[in-house]
Amino acid sequence: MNIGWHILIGVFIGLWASTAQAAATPAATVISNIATLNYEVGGAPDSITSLPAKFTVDELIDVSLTWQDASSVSVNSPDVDKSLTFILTNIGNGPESFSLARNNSLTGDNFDPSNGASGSIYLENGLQPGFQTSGPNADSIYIPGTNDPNLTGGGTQTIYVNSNIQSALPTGNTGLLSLTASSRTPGAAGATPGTSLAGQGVGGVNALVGNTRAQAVQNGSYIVSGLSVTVAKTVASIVDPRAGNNLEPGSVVAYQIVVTVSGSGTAGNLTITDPLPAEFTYFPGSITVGGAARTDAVDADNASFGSSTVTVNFGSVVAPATLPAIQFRATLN
Amino acid sequence: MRPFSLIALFSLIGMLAGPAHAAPEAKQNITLKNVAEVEVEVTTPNGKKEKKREPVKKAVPGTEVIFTTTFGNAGTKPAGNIVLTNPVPDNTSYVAGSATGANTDITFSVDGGKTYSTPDRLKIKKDNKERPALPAEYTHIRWTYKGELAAGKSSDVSFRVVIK
Repeated sequence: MNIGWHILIGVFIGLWASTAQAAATPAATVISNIATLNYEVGGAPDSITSLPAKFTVDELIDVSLTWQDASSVSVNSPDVDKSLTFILTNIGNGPESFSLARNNSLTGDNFDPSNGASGSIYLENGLQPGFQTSGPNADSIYIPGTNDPNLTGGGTQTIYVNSNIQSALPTGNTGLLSLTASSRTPGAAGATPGTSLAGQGVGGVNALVGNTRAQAVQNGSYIVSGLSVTVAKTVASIVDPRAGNNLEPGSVVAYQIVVTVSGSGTAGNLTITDPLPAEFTYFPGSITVGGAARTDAVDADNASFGSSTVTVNFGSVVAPATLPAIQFRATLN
Repeated sequence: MRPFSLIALFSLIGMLAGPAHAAPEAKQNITLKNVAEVEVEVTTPNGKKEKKREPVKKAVPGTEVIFTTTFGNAGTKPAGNIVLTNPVPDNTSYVAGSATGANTDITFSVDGGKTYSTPDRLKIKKDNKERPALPAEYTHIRWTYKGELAAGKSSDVSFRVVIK
């Protein structure tokens, strides 16, 4: 007996948990309550039930938009087809269709993104997670009035707002845009919460405009953060066997390599390798970094020479940065 | 579901509401009537705001609904061993502490009406672990009337739910 009871409890909680996760009670649901009374009159037990007290659940129109990128999306300047990801959720309790619009001209930023070259708003089609502009799993371009997302109560739609970024923007500049989702039920979007729209709900029930005014606006942003590494190698000096500056067999050439990391972000495990041409012979023990001597062995210092190659490891470098100059010498054969 | 603006909601429901009274049932001169209502905030002619109950015909998720059950003894003999049971309707959650009833002991069930207990003793068992039950997990409410209901008398009990 006891075991059976435990199992029943388990089943019941499972059911409860699943309904608790679910969306609001669907519009047009009838909620009914019947009371039961057990009693005794003159020692005779009996019972009666009440007629049901019942009412119908009206449709609530509510919508939410969330911006999914953890932070401003990194872009280059210029850049093409960079997307921000939003999720549209029908937090009402009936099927609802939403129109989408973007606004590029927000204030409080450094530049305005423009509509993406391949399309301005895309709808995730579910074939492949993430944004694809082309290929067999390409997401669907949003066309207002044609493929407006139609969501059941609690339903969601992933949306990509796709932008081009203008040229010549300094690193660190931000560009804001907003996405607006509006209920397509006539009279709903922007209406005062509590506005009742007679017969506009599913199955002809009334639709009530919720706290979100049947409309949601959400900002997202881009940041110009193209990180680039430039390497400049120059000849610092030439000393020929006759103490002159001519390049001839026997001349010792001092090379200098300057590494610059521009933009923003972090370059990880930044390693410079410089293989020597066959006509040069490395001058042992000649590597300096920022003027400080380094050994040729692979050891605690960050430079080494082996297999005719000079290697210097700078580790993680936070941009922007100009790294200490590398110098070494080689003799022309 | 976000909580809805109560004032806006109530005023709206006030406009929509029609009668939701169920006609009383009678058997051996015992009557039982069940009503669903909402509280509406109304402004009196002198500008005072007060809460008024109105029958509910339609409501949106998030609305608090009050069920009131009235039982009466229209006979000539007293009625005893009176136990009134009300399920918490599907798609609603019981509001903690809302069950009332004069001269009654109130117990609750979390197993679909199989067993009843007071809130402090209600437990949910899952994966061999036990935890106190939440009011939202109550499935049934039971009022046990103390003593007898004299002939010609009536009494009522009430509880509140929120539409999920």
